[in-house]
Amino acid sequence: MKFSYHILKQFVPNLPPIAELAEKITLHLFEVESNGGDVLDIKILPNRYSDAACYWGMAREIAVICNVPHQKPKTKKIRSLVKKAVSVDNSMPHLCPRIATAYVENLRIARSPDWLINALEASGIRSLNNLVDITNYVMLETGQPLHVFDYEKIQGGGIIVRQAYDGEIVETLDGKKISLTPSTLVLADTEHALDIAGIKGGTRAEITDHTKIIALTAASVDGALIYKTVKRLGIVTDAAIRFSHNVHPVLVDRGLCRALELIQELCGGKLGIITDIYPKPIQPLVIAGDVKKYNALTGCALTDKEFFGYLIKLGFRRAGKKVISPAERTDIEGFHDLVEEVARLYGWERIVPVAPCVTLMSPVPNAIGACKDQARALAAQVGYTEIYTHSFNTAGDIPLENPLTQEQSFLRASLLPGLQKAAEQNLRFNHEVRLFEIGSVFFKKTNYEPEEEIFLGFIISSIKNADSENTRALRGSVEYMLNNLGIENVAFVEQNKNTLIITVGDEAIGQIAYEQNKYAHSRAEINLTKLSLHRKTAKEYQPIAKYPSITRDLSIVIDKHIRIGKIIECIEKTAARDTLQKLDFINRYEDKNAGAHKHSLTFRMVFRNPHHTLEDKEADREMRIIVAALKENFQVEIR
Amino acid sequence: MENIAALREKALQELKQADTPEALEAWRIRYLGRKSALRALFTNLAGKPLEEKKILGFRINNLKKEFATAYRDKQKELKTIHDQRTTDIDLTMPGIPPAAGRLHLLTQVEQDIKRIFTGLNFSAIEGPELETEWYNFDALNIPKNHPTRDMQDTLWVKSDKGLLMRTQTSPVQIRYMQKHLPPFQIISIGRVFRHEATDASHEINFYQCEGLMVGEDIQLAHFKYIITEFLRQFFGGAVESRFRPSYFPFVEPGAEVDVKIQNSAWLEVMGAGMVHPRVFEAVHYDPKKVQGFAFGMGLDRLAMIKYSIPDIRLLYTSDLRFINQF
Repeated sequence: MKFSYHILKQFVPNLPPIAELAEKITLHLFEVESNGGDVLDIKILPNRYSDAACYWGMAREIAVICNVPHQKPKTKKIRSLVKKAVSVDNSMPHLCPRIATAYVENLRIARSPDWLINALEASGIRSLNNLVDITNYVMLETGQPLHVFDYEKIQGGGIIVRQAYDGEIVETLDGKKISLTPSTLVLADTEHALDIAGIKGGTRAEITDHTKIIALTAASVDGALIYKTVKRLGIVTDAAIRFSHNVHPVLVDRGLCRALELIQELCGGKLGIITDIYPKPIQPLVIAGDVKKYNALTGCALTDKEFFGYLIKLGFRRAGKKVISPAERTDIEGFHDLVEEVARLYGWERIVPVAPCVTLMSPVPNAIGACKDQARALAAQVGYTEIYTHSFNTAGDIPLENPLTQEQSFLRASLLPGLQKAAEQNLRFNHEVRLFEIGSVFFKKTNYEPEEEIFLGFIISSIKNADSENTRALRGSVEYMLNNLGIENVAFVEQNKNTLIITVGDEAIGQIAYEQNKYAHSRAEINLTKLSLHRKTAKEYQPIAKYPSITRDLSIVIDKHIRIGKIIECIEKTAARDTLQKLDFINRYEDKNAGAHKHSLTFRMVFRNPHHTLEDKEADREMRIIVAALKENFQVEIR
Repeated sequence: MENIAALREKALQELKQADTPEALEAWRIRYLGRKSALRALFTNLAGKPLEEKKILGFRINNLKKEFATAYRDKQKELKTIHDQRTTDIDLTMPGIPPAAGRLHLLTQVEQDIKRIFTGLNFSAIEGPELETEWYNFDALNIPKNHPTRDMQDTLWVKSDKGLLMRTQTSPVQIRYMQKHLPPFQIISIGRVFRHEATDASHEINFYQCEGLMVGEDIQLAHFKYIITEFLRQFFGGAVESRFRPSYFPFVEPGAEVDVKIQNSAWLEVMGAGMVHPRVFEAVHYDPKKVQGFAFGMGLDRLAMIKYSIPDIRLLYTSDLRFINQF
């Protein structure tokens, strides 16, 4: 809220200069922006809006913070001269705990004096006429919203507080026709609703230049009701904002009386009888003030006198070991709120930092955290650069209720689209990119409950066309990472021409996928949440091989459509388990002589026996067995 | 005698000037070979008396050794020069950078923060991004139909169970306290979401670090210590900090912490305070027996301040020209 420095000075005569004042308020109360000049833009915190978003409340705070005298506002009580009243019929006391009205006749509506126009301008409110300006100004001064009706337009001469009828229309002061429901409160006369209670006035009984008699009202309305109504109707006014933050009923007569004082001063007028309906006055809150507890919570060493001294300055009243909270402080609920008040006045900067003395605690086990950290380190090690993308996508299992854009209307179910988009953007400046991302993805499992799991995605993208070098490099990276994360029983199962499913035991934990558009994308995604449960991190020494190995190459000519993986599987299954140490796929060669649908593949086998030096004839035997198996399962020619 | 000395001087002088293998070989023949001057000296010994023979012989032998050593050294020297002149390697060529990957700046910041807090015996824990309304708001003393809900614009998920994308990492506090008893000190770093238009200082998803320390006698003074220490370590000493009152429904007293680097303005980096009794009640702790502090800070903001990054959106563009700078 914007405050005028010189109006504050009326209540706090010894105000420090504006820059110093702004700093003091920031350190002991709220953040302030001051651009010099006369205006302080004070960011009132939500829990203090009901008492400090007004000059009276702010002035008291400032006087305490700056330790200067406070000119308490005194309202002149106006004598009632006319035996007329505005009757009140409140059928909703639980939502409108207090309502007060005043009858004033013989008014002169005119232009406001300059001081009033300027005061409103400082807070960004436009001047209309002296009467309406007074109601707005008194709201700024006391924190109590007011409304004024043209009494002669009120049918039946009294105000009724009731629920709106379903579909009831109120035309508000800005000309809009608002349709209401019973969840909205209205101020009405015997025929029509005149005002959306706590929010905005209607045109039916609005003030004009010819108004001579008024009904001035000040009410207290339930904060939650106003908050919900504002959201539902989409009407935001200063009054509505204030009520949403729970304005205390104690402000009602302060606002009313101050307004009457100004009305008599500026508009003339004769006051009638004030009607004040407050059936269940809210009792002030009494809280035990325990300075020992305060010191234990803060680490300070305040005395009883100092502790209560701060509170008394703020308007708390001491009653033995307890304090009575000022009524308008709706934010005060218990002892902890007293701690806040004393600590901020004492000054956060004065609290001396002290290292806590604690019993050491063992780190909380965090398997997924450790898995993520290691996966990141491995990915960076083997040449991938980490990116962070948004958690949304144009499609997925789980839609958002209120997405910001169409492209972001679902939670992402995979990291791959984001990685691919990022790769393509970077390929404008590079020939090849290797990227990875670790993040949460979201999907619905079979029971329709949304699930969140952490995935590792990585991609090798290049401007070159279909190139098995990159797909092999990607698969090599997957194997490297799974191996170093301690994952065993890994298998790759072909799902279709462009997709391999990665399994650990029986469980699918990821995929490798190839996509070719303008660029070649080799991509992989792994479920780290699942993997973190399968990690075998303990290692055991294996004796170093004593006996030398024999290496044999095998070149075969075979149909192109036969999967190399299947050939490798066949060789591995056939060879004696403890003799075939290593099997590599070395080379693929297109031999024109072999035919258009055949190619030549070379495999390298390393044989070693752990118990004795392998002889050539044993290696030969193994090769014969392997060749026989290949011939049996596939149509091969040995080169 | 003079012959020996003169021969020595002459020979060594000529050796110095021998700068090709051919010249060196010529010298060897002249001074160490069968028909060399040295040989001649030995031959001249024949007719001399025994005593003289012994002394001269000794001197001539030493000379021979000296010549042999000097010859070998010269040989080595010539070889080195030769090698250097004919080598192919030019070491002044620029290096080839290795194909190393890299961690994103936010990961580096996350690891920095984890390292600092682990050094203070805090444990790092995780929590879900997809949260329930209860964990994100109600348990944290942020009731429905209250303006405090407006302090954080929420991204809601379509469901009938009050699901949302967490607006802060604070729900992790609740989850942890439900399953553990104090005393403890934990942090949790993770992604949070706000329904806000993106601009230079706002993104729809960003990162926060949550901290929580609870015990029988954890005080505001301890909170100031931990935070001041963290800021000092994170910014490397040259940082001023200030604490000022603020409001969050789940702490009371509440505060915000600003930092000032060199001559910058005060920049807000964290919200914090003493855990509100209602939050303890929500997790069935007795507020009369425990007290603690909690804080939340934005990683993106810390990174932007420390590394002078002007626009938060750079952290999510995946542009390698940005990522590779850090």
